[in-house]
Amino acid sequence: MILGSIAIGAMLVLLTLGVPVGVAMAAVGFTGMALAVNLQTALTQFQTLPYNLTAEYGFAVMPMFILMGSLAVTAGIAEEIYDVAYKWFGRMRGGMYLTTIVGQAAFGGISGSTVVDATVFTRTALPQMLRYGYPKTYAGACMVATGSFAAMIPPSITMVIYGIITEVSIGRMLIAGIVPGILSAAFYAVAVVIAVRFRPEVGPPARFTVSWRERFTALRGLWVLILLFGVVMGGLYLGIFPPSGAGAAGAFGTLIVAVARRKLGWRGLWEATRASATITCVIFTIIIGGLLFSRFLVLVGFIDAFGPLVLGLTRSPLGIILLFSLMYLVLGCLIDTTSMMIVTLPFVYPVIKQAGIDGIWFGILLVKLVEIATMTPPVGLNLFAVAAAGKGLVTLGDLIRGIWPYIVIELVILAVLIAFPSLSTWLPSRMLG
Amino acid sequence: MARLVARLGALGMGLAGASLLAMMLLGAIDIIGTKFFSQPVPGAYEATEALLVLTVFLALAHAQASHQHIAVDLVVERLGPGARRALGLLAQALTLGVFAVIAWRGWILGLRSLAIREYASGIIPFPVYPSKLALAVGATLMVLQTLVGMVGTARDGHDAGTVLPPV
Repeated sequence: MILGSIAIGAMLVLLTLGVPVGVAMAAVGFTGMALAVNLQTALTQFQTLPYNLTAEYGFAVMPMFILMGSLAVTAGIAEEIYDVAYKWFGRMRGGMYLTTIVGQAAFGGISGSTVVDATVFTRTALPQMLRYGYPKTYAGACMVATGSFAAMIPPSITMVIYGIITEVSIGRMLIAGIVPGILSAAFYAVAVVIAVRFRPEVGPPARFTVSWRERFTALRGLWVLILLFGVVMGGLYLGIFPPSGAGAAGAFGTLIVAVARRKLGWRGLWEATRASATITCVIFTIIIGGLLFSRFLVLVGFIDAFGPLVLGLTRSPLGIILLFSLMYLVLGCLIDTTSMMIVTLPFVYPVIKQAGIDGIWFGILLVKLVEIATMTPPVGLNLFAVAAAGKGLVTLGDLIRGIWPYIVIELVILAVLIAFPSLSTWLPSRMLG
Repeated sequence: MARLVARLGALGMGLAGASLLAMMLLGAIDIIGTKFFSQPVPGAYEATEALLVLTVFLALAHAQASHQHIAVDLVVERLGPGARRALGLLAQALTLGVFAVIAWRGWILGLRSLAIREYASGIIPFPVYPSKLALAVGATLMVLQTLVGMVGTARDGHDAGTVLPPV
């Protein structure tokens, strides 16, 4: 227990000093194993784990989802979805918020990265919102907050990482995200409708004319995307193919759509591929470090000791959920979400299991906390992403001033997901295969 | 030396990207084959595993060269140039150490596998040693790239730097 605590402390110091997250965890894990057990054990772990973790069919789903999202962005699918949502919702009160909410929820069904989604919509939607007189604080923060939908609505890279570390079924996690994801978007929409009733000046209707005919015409381009989402998630739900197969089919389908629409050349394909390979490599490096660290914690008995310690504070599942939620809300302000999950899950998840809490339910709550973490200052990745993509239209300060109403909505959704576990667990329990 | 390592890193990235695309094509063809023609691609499962190893480990050095590895820089960015240089060296020294061990053990793993011509037993036997050797090669390139980075940091003081994490 003492050794484990020292090691966690040492790792946190290294992180603060700017050591890459995966390296910090691997280095402390190695030293710890060598000291507490013996050098041979540490070397054996370094020999077997990196290969065994990557030579794993089930984990190919991660690069496939990353590639699918990259290709969708390159193919201009986000803009297309945005355009449809704009024609349908733009002219309502608060219409540009609604456009962004609906657009992000739909694009979240193809892309699994919150940073990417926040960035793409900032380029497309934000200039238009500002032109219609929306305040830059709330408009910019809307990009930050709705970008986070990508983590809950499958495909989701966050869920794949959770599944890899906890060994909870990735396929079930993805399906479990559908209801909470749609619910979140619905809460946002309702909140916007209520907010603009009281303060119409923050969400003026967009001034443009569009006929019903044009609206329906705009929908025509979407059938391919619905088909794509349907094949990937339907195949998963019906147990027709495993997540990795679904991801490959989804990425390939997106590639075909992009090429057929003449939006993707060799250059674009290579850019998307290279970016995806890099992100895959970076995430796996952190996971390898995290699991090496986790092996160490198990070997020195930290995991066995940590569980009773937490369970000594509170035995009720609700108490434990609230305790960890609070921890993640604080951590989420300070470190990026990938590192947050990988650093903490090795010792948090065993406690969840010991307390008899459903792994899918906890996973969904964690994804919600990750979404919140992307928007809480000072370190909220989506805040940075939108400020960077906004190219001077909004500053980080504007976004931080405008983000609080969205954080309030998110906390309400989190409370609802905690109060009603079946929102997270019902759909995956109906899965076949 | 630095240029050679950069070239090798770029080459590795090229192979990593190609592996990623191959993984996608293989997965898609396998699914279409299995579901519509009851004819799965033999060895698709094992090949996907090998390609994932290639994607992750051959992209390492290039990701390091373009400062893509995630670190928490809340504190570091508030420090003076001297302290930043020292911490940059510390971060890279640890990176070097970790990947040196992974590379060393990787070569042991890979060469042993090569010596016995290790195959995975599936529908068709699939060779395992190429991906194990690729891991060793990728980790070794990462070690070299980190060395080049350390020399740069020590000389010019430009820090290891970080870019937005991806998800």
